[in-house]
Amino acid sequence: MTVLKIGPDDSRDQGLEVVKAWIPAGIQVLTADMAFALGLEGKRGARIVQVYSGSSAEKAGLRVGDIVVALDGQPIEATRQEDLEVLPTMVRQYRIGSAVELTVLRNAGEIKIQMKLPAAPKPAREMDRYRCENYDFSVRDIAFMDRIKEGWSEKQTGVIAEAVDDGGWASLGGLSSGDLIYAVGGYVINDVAGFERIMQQVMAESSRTIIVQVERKRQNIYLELQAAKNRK
Amino acid sequence: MSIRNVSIFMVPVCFFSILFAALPVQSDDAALCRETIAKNQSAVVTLEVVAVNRVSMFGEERKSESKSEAAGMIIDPSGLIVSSLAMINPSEFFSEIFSSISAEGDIKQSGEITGLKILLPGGQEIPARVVLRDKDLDLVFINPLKKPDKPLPFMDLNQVSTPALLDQVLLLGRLGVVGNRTICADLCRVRAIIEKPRTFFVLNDANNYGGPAFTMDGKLLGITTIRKLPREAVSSSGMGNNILPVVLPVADVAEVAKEALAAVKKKR
Repeated sequence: MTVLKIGPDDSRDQGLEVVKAWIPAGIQVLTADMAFALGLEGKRGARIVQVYSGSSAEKAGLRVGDIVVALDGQPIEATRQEDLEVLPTMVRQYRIGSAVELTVLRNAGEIKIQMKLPAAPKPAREMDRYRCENYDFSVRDIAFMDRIKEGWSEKQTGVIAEAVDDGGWASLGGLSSGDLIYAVGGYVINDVAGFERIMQQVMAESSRTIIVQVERKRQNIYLELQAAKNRK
Repeated sequence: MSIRNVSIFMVPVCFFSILFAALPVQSDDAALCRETIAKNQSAVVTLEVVAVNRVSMFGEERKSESKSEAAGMIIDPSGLIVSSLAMINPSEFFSEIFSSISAEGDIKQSGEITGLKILLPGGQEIPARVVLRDKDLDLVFINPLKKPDKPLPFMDLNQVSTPALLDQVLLLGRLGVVGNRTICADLCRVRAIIEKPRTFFVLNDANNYGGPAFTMDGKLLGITTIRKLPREAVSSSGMGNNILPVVLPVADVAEVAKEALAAVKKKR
């Protein structure tokens, strides 16, 4: 049976996004309810919930609990959860390396924090990828936000499994999207380029079965993945 | 001769004095502009875009294919082009307007580029792709899928030019197919100069989005784009006060162009 797809290919690459300036910190909107609860009725802004370790935000003196109410004197018009992107969008308008002044509420007082805006790290969608056709899954490099979310240090190596085909060989072996693959056939995986090289090496020297070591929800798991008999 | 007669006599004299005094200046400006146009027009190209647009209204989705043209400027001999993202993919631009007037999010629009060609002034067509986009600055970088046979004429981004408020700037573009894609030019004035969060020269009027803008001394000032605040940064609905025709300075274009060239290198 031949399946024809009619019309243009809808999944064409739409290009990368330009690297932008950012504040290396996790934020949450100071909602009207929260402002009331904190005794800051009528105030608007973004509350710092995490300051990324070693970042320019930390060096500038930004702290968890700070409420950013203005950027270079421009008020942060955020009062609802949907306004989460207000501050990041305002920051994105600046050139990387620009010096800005944050107006911050801390301990019922107002302070000014000067900082230089660094370049935002590459998002997950722009990390290098490799499709492992023999096992029906893809991997990508670890993104900065993966490290934040999973609590991984800078030294953590490996690749992240994604697009694990339902009913495919990797899926049957127990691999899930989001698993961190840190070793294959006993070889340590550093990144996507290393994964591709080691997979080819392991497949050349072993039978259909390979042993993959993954981290899933902070637990280490060994998986046995089998490839198709007529593998490439 | 009475004072009254002198006054009557002086009116046409003054009128013609002013007229003839003004004409040479305008003529000089036009001559300077023509010089700039002749020097740079081969680097101003037409981009032909095919896009699939999706409009979702109150739960019903409609899909259509559109073909449009926009101007762009070549900034590297390899054929790297910069243009206005809003001109290349208007659906992305309109999606922000739709979402800002539709508070409940019941009207959505999106566009995906499925075909792109560079139409050179000589009539040559080169298939191309988008390599880098900047929604905040309304920029898109496009490069040929195959390296051109010979280096293409390009605009040097290492120029410094700073107009003052109310100075004139020359904008270049290309007419559509109805005008045989002929080079076209407009003279505008700098209506405002925004300094924060970065420098933008606001124009009193503009037509040639995606094309280059020059100061009257013939130096490249930047690219004509649309400055709009993303919906995330606008607390009130409506876009009327949040859209401006601007020139993004050449230094800013050059900065992003470095990233675009690196992306091209990686893709090859």
